[in-house]
Amino acid sequence: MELSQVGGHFVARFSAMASPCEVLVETTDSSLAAHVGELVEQEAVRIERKYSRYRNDSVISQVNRSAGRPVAVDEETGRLLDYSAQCFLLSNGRFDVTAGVLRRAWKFDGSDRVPTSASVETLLPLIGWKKVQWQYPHVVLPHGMEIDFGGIGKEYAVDSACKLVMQQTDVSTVINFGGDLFVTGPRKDGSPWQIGVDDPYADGKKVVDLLSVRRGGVATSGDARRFLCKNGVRYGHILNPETGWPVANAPRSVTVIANTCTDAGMLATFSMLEGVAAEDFLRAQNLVYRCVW
Amino acid sequence: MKMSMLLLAATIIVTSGCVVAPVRPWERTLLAEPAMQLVPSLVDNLIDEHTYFSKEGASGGQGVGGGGCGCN
Amino acid sequence: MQLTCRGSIGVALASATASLLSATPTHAVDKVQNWQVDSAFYVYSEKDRVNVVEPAAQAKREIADDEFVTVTLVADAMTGASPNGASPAAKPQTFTATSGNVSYSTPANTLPVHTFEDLRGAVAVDWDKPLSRLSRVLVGGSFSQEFDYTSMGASATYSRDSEDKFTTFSLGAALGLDFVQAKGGAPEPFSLLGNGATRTSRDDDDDDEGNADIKNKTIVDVVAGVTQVMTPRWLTQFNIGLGLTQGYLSDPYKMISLIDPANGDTFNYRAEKRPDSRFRQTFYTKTAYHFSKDTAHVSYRYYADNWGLRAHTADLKYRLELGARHYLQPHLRYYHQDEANFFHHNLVGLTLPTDNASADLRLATMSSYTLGLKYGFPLGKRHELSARVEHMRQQGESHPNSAIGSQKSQDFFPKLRVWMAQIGYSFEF
Repeated sequence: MELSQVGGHFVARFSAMASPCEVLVETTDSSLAAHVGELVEQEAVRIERKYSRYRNDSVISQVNRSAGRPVAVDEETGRLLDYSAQCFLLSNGRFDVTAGVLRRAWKFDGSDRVPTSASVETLLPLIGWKKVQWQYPHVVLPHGMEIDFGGIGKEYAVDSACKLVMQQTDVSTVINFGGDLFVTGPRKDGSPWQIGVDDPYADGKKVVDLLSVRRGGVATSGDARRFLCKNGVRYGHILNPETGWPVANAPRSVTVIANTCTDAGMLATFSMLEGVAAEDFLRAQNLVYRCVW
Repeated sequence: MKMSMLLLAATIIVTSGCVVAPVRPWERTLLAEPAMQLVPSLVDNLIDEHTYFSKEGASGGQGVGGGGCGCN
Repeated sequence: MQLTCRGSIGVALASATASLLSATPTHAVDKVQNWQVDSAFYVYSEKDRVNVVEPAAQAKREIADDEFVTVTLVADAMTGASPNGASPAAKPQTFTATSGNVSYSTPANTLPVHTFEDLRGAVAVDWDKPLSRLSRVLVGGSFSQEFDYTSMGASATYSRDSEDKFTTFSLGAALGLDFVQAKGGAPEPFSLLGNGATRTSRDDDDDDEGNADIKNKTIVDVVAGVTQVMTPRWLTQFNIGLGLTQGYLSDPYKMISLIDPANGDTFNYRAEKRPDSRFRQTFYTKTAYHFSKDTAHVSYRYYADNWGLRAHTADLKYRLELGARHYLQPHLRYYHQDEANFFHHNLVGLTLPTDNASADLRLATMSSYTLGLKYGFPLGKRHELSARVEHMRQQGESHPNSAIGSQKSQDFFPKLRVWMAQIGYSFEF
């Protein structure tokens, strides 16, 4: 973790969850900033180790290897599964943590290698939250299916790390994991933090809007970095679990401000799942948002 | 006021469970402020309830428990 | 996605997220569990009558995830004089204690009072824990001891939230057992006390002569309530309560004057008598409203019991935020009660009343008004100092229609003027 001072606050930077992470701490006390930065890094690493599908020893890999046998999970994993179930219901089945197997067909590397219909269709029987049996503390995942918390993990880690930080100190802190962030409070002079919304057409080099946030979570859902493009048609990475294909006519990016980072992320995801009706959904929820088409 | 009227009032209130206006998620923070606790100062309430219990004929209403004294 | 109520998905999602984030992180760096303490030093003073000094403290600690224990300690030292039930008269009156050692007299045209002194200590412990995702239980016990009075109680309250957590239902029940050990024994109800009214004084200086006569009463209370979030700024609560007290409910130290129907002079006294049971009903509602910076709390209580007492209580507190966590809070309270059906200022002649009779002014028709102001300011993170001053006036029928002869010039309910002051200190350790 590297710590640097910028004017009246410190910035701690590290890498976790395949994203650049930074923690802004509104203090001139370097030991407090270092302590907060370490706390956040430890929590990010803990959650990554627990739920990364790339690690053999992670809880999620153990569940995904269970081949149809019941697996007993801990309380935190239980809460994430409950949350997944509720999001599945609230999205009428369009948000589904079992849709991760589609990555075997879809590799969003900016190329034009769009999968064939057949390769996508063979994966469809392995998708469907309704096929999962979940009753705390046991989850039964049919053989071949997988659970992927990728759509929740980063935002949950932001909120979880924030809880720890807020128990330790009152100073305003911003925890930003690759664009999903939480602001714990206004700066010392009462002013809000200025959060830049990336221009999805400028590949991180330009900011299309500046949000003033005093307290709350901010998350962005979008295809800025993960997409395929073939014959002039852009394929975003938000996939419809029922068809296996990207949601048609979704915005390029949606940024939402909400009470928690997890809320913001899920509302942004829900709006993307609405496709062309994304902005109507955001307006109906009375949210503060930025939508780029 | 008859008991039946009191019970009727309670039933009407209890069954109309819908919120009057939608509470936006980030607006919950107002409700969580200490000043919005239904009893802003428990110690003040304890002291005042004891004082008024010893000077007046009526008592109670807010909840159960708290203990008694010989002052009434 | 179907949108039933406007914005309902956002609300439901927020609720789901709250559940996800609700548990304390298991790998939190060890933090010392703090005690949050609210303490107060309160002083109460009635013009020419009762004075009370009352320190109180309440300490709360989180003992497990979302589980709390609260300990409350209160002590009060009371001195002064309180009405003994006798009516004011045109001539001076003398009252004697049973032992015959202590007697006191009241000048003419003055409401008779007896002096007393009492020291009380009380302790209460509450345990508040979640039972499931949406429900909680609060269990409590209390004990209080004075020179001649002991009170103990236990209570339990169950509360349950709705799925969206905007509504909370609660049901509580409490049991109490009180013992009174009147100095010199409790008098036979309606017994004639003689012209120099032999009366026990509550003063501790008395010799402990006479048989110690322990009387008791049992109290049962039940309260059902609903708390509802009406809008993001408005929280409201409705409670309905029922209570039953049974046992010895008279005041062993109070009497009623017997009046000569010819001229209104007092010629004797009887010990008072109240029913041996009291059944009460309360309806209580309270609202908290958050303006842009300030908050207001308003409450109303309706009380009725089978003694015929009816009372209305209205209370308003407005917290004016002055910035930097300083606040000023004015307070208004209005109380009005209609007398108990066996309240009499005095009795005429020697005819025994049909059932019960008491001249305790606390059962009489009366109104009281309180005006107060509280100022609070922070001393640091979670340290706060506060000061409040209140003034109460209580008044009733000074010249009842039932007054006869020489009574007509008497003031039966001298206006009570009370000052209350309190310093409060909240801190964490």
